[in-house]
Amino acid sequence: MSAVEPKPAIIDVQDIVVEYTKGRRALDQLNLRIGAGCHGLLGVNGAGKSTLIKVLLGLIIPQGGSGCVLGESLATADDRLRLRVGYMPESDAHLGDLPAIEAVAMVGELSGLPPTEATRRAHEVLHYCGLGEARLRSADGFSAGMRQRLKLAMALVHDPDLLFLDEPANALDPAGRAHMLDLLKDIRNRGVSLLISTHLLPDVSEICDSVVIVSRGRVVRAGRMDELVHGLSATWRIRVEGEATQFRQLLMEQGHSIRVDASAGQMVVELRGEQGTRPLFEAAHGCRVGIRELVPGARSIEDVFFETIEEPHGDS
Amino acid sequence: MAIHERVYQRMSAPPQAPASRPWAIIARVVGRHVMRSWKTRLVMFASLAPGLMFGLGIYFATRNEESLLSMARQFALTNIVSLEDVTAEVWRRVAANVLYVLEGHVQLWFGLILTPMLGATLIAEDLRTQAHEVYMARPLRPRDYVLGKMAVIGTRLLFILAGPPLLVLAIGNALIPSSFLPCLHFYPLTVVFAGIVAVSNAAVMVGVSALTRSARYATAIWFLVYFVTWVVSAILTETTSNRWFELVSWRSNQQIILSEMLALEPLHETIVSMPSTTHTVWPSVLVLSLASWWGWRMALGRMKPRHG
Repeated sequence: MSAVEPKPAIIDVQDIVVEYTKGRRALDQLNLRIGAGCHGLLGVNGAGKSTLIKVLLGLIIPQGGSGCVLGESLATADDRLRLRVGYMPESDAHLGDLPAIEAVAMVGELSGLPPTEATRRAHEVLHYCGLGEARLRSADGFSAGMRQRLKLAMALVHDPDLLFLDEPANALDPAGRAHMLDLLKDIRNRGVSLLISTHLLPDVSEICDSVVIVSRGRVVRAGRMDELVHGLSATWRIRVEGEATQFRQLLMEQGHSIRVDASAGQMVVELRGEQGTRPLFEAAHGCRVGIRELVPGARSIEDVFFETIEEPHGDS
Repeated sequence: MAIHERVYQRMSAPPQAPASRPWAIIARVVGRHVMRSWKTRLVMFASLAPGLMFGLGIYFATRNEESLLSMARQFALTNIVSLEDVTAEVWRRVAANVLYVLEGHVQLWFGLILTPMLGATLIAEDLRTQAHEVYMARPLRPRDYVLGKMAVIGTRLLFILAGPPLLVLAIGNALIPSSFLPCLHFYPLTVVFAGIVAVSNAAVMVGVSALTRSARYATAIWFLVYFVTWVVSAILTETTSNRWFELVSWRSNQQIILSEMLALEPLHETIVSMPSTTHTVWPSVLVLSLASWWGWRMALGRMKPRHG
C-alpha cells in the first residue's frame, strides 16, 4: 500500500526489501510515496520504521527495491542527497564530549558549509533550539531534553530540505516535549519537510499533515491525517426515529458493532469492512425507521493506528 | 546584530561539497578536543623531556674533549686517540646509536602510552552511542571517518616520536659541525620511522577501538597485546636462540625496522637491548603491515553501510 500525494514526491521508493536474518524481513516489499510536508511514521516496535529511515539515508543498503529521495536516486546519489537531508537519530549520538558548539559546527562543515559559516550557523541553531546558554558545554552534562535538542541542532545546521527524525520526543518531560513540538512546528512552517518516526501518537496528531503506518515491514496505511481520522471513518453517530431496537438488531446481525450513547441520545455504529453509509440507510429502510442525525464518529489517530495494526494485512 | 540575537533562517542556497576533505575536518576538530585533556598534554609534554636531556648530554660532552672521545670510541669500536681520528663514519655510528636509543626505546614508550590515551575512545564511544550514524548521514565516506580518527592519533605520535630525535640531531650537528653531512640522511629517516610507527599504532588502535566498542577494553587489549607479545617473544627467543621469534613482538618489529634504517651495528657494550640484525627488515614490515591492515579493515567494516 502506498500513499499517493498530489504534490511532487520527496520520497518515492518501491519494493524495498531488507532482511537482517534469513527469513525475517525488516522491510518487506515496502512501497512509499509522499510529498512535501510533515509526515508521521507510525508502527509498533520492530515494525521497520528506523530501518526505513536508515535505508532512505543510505545507512542500510536494501537487498531489493529502488527509489529516490528529493529526486536523488538511492542507488547513486549518496553525497548529493546527504547535503540536503538532516538526520536526528534515536540514540544518544553525542560526538564524544565535544562542546555543543563544536559538534554542531563540525557536522555543518562535514555537510558542506565553510568553517566560518558553519560556526555562525551552529550558534544560530543552538540558540534556536534553546541551547544558547549551554552551547559551550559538553553534551556529557546535558539532560535528556538538551541532548534531544542538540541532536536536532546537528540535523538542522546545514539547512536541509528534508529532516528524518527518529523518536524526537523520546524520554522528554511534558515541558520538554512541548518545546520540541513547538520547534518542529516552526521548522515545518519554514518549509522543511519532516518525516517523524514516533510512538507518541498525540505528537503526530499535533504536528503532522499525514501519516504512514508501517507494520511487519510494509506500509499498511497512509494518507492525510484528516482523511484517516474523519473522511474514511467507518464509525458513525446516528439518531433514528422509529423502531430503534429492530434497526439495531438488524445491523448487529450484519456484523456491525453498535453501542448506545444514552447521554447524547445517539447510537454509535461501527461499520465492519464498509466505507460509506449505505448499510445504515438500507437497514433504516428495511426497518422503516428514519435517520434524523448522521455524523462521522470522531476518531483519534490512536483509533486509526490500533485498527490498522490489528487488521490482517496479508498481501496488502 | 549580536550572535545571540540571530534567529535561525533558511539558507538562500543549499551547501555544496565540503571545501576541506572530510577526514581533515574530523582530524582537526576531534584532535583539538583530545588535546584539552590535561593527562594527554602532560604525557606529550613529558615526551619532550628525553630529547632535552639527550641534547644537554651532547652539549656537555662537547664541552669536554675526553667525554666526546669516549663516546666516539664506544660507538665506533675503534681506538681513537684524538678528535683528528674521528671520521665521518664514526659520527654516523654515534648518531645512529643515539637515535636508536632515543627513538627506538624511550620515545616508543611514550608512543605506547599515548596511543590508547588518544585513540581508545575515538571509535568505541561513537559506536556505543551510535554517533557514527550522525557522521555517516553526512556526505563522507567510511574511509574519511576512519582516516580522520587515525589522523588524530597519528599526527600526535609523529610529533612525539620524531620531534625529540630531530632536536637532538640538530643540537649534535650544531655543536659538532663535522657531523652534519654524515648524519644528514638521518633527518628524513627519523621522520619516516616515526611515520611508520604512527600509522601502524593508529591503525591498530582504531581497529581495537572499533572491535570492542568500549574504551576500557580497547586500552586493556592494547597493553595486553603489546606486553604479551613482548614477553612471549623474549622467552621464545631466549630459550630457542632463534631470533626469528622477535617477529612475534610488536615492539621488536618496530625496533628491527629502525635499526635497519639506521644501519645500526651491534656494540660491545650497550645500554639498551639491541634487535637481531640477522634477518632483513621485510618480515617486520610485513607484520606491521598486516596488523595495520587488520585495524583499518576492522574500523572500516564497522562504518560501512550495512547490507540488509
